[in-house]
Amino acid sequence: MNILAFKNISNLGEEFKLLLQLFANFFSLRQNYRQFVNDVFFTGALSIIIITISGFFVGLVLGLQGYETLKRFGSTEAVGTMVALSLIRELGPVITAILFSARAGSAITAKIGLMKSSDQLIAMEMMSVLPLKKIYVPLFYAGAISVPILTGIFCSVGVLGGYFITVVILGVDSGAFWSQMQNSVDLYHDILNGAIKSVCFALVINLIAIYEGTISKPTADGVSRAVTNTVVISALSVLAVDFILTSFMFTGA
Amino acid sequence: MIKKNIISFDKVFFGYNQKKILDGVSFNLPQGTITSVFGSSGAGKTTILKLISGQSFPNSGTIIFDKFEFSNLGLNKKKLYKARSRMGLLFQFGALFTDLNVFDNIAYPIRENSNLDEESIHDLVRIKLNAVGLHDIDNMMPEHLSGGMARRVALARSIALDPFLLMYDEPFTGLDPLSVQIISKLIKQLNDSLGLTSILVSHDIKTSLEISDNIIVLSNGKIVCNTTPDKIASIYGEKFLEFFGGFTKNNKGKFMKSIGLL
Repeated sequence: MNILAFKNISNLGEEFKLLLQLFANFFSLRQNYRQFVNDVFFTGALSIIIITISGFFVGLVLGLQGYETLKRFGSTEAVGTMVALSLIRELGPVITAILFSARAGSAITAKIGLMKSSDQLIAMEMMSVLPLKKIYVPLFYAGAISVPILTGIFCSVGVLGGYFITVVILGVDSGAFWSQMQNSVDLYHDILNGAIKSVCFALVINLIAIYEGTISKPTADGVSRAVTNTVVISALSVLAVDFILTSFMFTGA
Repeated sequence: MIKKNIISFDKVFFGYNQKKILDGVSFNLPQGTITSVFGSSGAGKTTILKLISGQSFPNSGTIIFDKFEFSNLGLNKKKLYKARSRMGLLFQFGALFTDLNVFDNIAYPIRENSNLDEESIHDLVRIKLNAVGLHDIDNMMPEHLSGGMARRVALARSIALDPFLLMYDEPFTGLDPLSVQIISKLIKQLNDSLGLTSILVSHDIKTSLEISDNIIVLSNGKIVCNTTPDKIASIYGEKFLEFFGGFTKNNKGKFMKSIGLL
């Protein structure tokens, strides 16, 4: 038990060290912008389909549940507000982050783990190239760009899903749906805070994904364990960070 | 004429977790020679390559490569990378970058370590590919290459920066007999034509003996033999070379036991 606790604390220390190195090497992106663009595609563009489909279904469910609940109080016109605020403040950033960790975080860990097990990282170092600058930094910041954009897509498609189920299928007034939403969603308080959340989640997920890749054992079993760790630890960390951020951002509002 | 030593090991000790891997190893690699290192698995052969390339540092003793001294104090990154730019390492299975095609794999170290324009890089890659006897495979991805071809592409990549020390980690492992012959000839050819110094870690003793100038045998972390291939037979009996030539029934003598192969 003590050994496990020591190992976890030591891992946290190593992760923090890696985080500082990633921040300190931010400007190396200038030399590796091509890699950065590739990584935005790898982590972001390839996640669009899963994000879009999930966003649509979450919007459908939110609309349906919201409509049924609000009907009891005779205020079904407020369903647009409910869908939008739930998505922008909470569900959008969190679900996008969890889906991102499952799709892109796992891919990042697998990529680094396989590069390690096939000696590609050492080969790189033998050519006087630092994997930190060449591989980790572009991946880290590519995620930080991708997740907020994906969150925006998720929320937008989610709102459309909510519109489809409530307005098109259940007959809520279209004008009321949009106008109530416009009146209640605040650019800074809701959208900006949602964006800040998604950036924080992206940094957490990418840090965990990169770290797990670098410490993975160079075996098939080692890489698969590292990928599993990335998804599990990222999902739990996102929920924990979400609680902390929400308690600062939205309490008392 | 006395040849300059490219690598000097002086009483090098290395181990971890209380496990001794190298126990006071000393040897020199003269310029222009090919040295083969033999020994059973875990004898410390690959550790020697890791110490030369600065992937690990000795617990005590010194390693001198060119003007660089590796000791238990390590070496700062700048110096280490400068030293590494003068050496090449062929990994056991090539370690080609799987996301890059053949051309980009060979061009990678050149792009990262020079400011040459794309045209010059193109010409250099062509020269390196010719040196390993490969043509018209620029756009092939590593997964489409045979084992022997992948090893040759990796060899072309490891000579991309014109190193003067080339290290080979099990270069014949997993190859068919024809590819083994091609790779062994290439090692000899490149060493002679480019004026390299080579160190080879291998289990394929017969092939290694054919191309080596020096032999080092490790056992339990110590050097038990450091000599030339022609002298090794007289030291360990005439049947020795026969044995490694394929006559596996005749000689199970002292030497084989000492290197842990029996």
